[in-house]
Amino acid sequence: MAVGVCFTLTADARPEPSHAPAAPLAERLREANDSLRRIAPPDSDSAPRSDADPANKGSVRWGNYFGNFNPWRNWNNWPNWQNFNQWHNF
Amino acid sequence: MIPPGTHIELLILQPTPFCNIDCDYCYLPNRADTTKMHPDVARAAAARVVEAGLVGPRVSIVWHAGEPLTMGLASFEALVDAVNGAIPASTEVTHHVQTNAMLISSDWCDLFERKSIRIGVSVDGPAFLHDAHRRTRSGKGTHERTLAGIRLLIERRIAFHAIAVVTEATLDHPDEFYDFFSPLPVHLLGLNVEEIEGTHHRSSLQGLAMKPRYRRFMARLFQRVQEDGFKLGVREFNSAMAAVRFSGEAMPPASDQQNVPWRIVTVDCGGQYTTFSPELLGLAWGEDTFVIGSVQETPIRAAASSAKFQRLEGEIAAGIRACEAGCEYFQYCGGGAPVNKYSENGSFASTETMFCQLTRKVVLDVVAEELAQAARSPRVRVTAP
Repeated sequence: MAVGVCFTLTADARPEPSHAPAAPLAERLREANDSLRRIAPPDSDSAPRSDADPANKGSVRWGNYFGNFNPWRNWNNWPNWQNFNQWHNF
Repeated sequence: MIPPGTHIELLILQPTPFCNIDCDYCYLPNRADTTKMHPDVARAAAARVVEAGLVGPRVSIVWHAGEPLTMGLASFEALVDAVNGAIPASTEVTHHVQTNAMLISSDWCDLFERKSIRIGVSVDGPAFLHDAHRRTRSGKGTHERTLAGIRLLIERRIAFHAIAVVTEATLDHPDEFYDFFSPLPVHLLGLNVEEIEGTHHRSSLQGLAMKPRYRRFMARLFQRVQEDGFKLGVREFNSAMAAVRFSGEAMPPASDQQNVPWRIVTVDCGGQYTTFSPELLGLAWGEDTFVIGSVQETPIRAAASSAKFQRLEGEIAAGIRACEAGCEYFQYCGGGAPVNKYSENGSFASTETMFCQLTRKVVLDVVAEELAQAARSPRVRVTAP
């Protein structure tokens, strides 16, 4: 039997984030961007993956973090991001 | 003066002020007024934006404010036809209706399909949240009838988005909220915080204690959305993810279609119009109003040259500059929504609002934190593939 390794993200209880972030917003967003790149690299423009594996129910597989989403394609409407509304981008 | 290249994005037409229900957080005045827009008014509204050179390759017509379906099907279709007849064929026109869904019938579905009308349903989540605020004039809940309308849309495979108003009561129930929406085929869910606007002078989300509660609600909601692979599109998260996606790149500041003139033009059932935030139409401005013209009488270019418009534009611009000078979120916000500044602070030339705290700052904070957390703490486990 082959044994594979996968990473999972879970929704277990964890410490509450600080409500008074110490770092400037731009720095925090860059860190989030770095995280996004690690979770779903922009050059991995692969076909949507299945998350049908029942073993992963309730958790998120590392490689499947965004399900059918490619964040580099689907969140791409700068500079009007806050106008990403229900009457546009249908 | 209208800057060259300015294109309208939303032409918001209020076909009637009347609403068949009486939500306690509604900001609209005159919800019992049954006046209906005449097709001549709809035609004139479309003709005015064309005449002003505001119409580009595409435009969205949004039928909103009051309950549009109370117009009756034939009257509503006549309005749609009137607008379509006034816009050049070279422009792609998309009609949108925001509805409580209670009056949706098979005949309405036929019209939605016939005219390719896109639907937005106002529903606040499960019944105990929805019916707490969205009631008939006799005090009855409306959730069941809204769901009946949603079921019809689903049966007919008509796509729809949803708008949910988030109140204090919602904050304690992120899982129930998510579990209500996640099975529905909504292509986008928009979270509208209960705002202080118009005739609604207080919000249950006011106060210092609300911000951390709202943050916890959004964090939990984001966790649920990401656990499910972003199958439920949430407007606020999609927006923040775009900000994350472009962070670190040399981008111009975001802009807000509410604080740039002529990207939105809002017309009431009698033909009076304004620009900037749509909710301004119907609000008082001292002894005056924010109406800057009538589609029957006032070309938009004339309105744009009026002292009233220029005063409005100047005050809004002062508020944007103040935001730019003092807020690290400006790059991602663009200076805020004028109607919220006016309603909460009494002045367009002001800065932070409850609305911007909850809908911009908290959302960006939560998404940034949750993404960073997700990358910091993945777990490793061994599985049989």
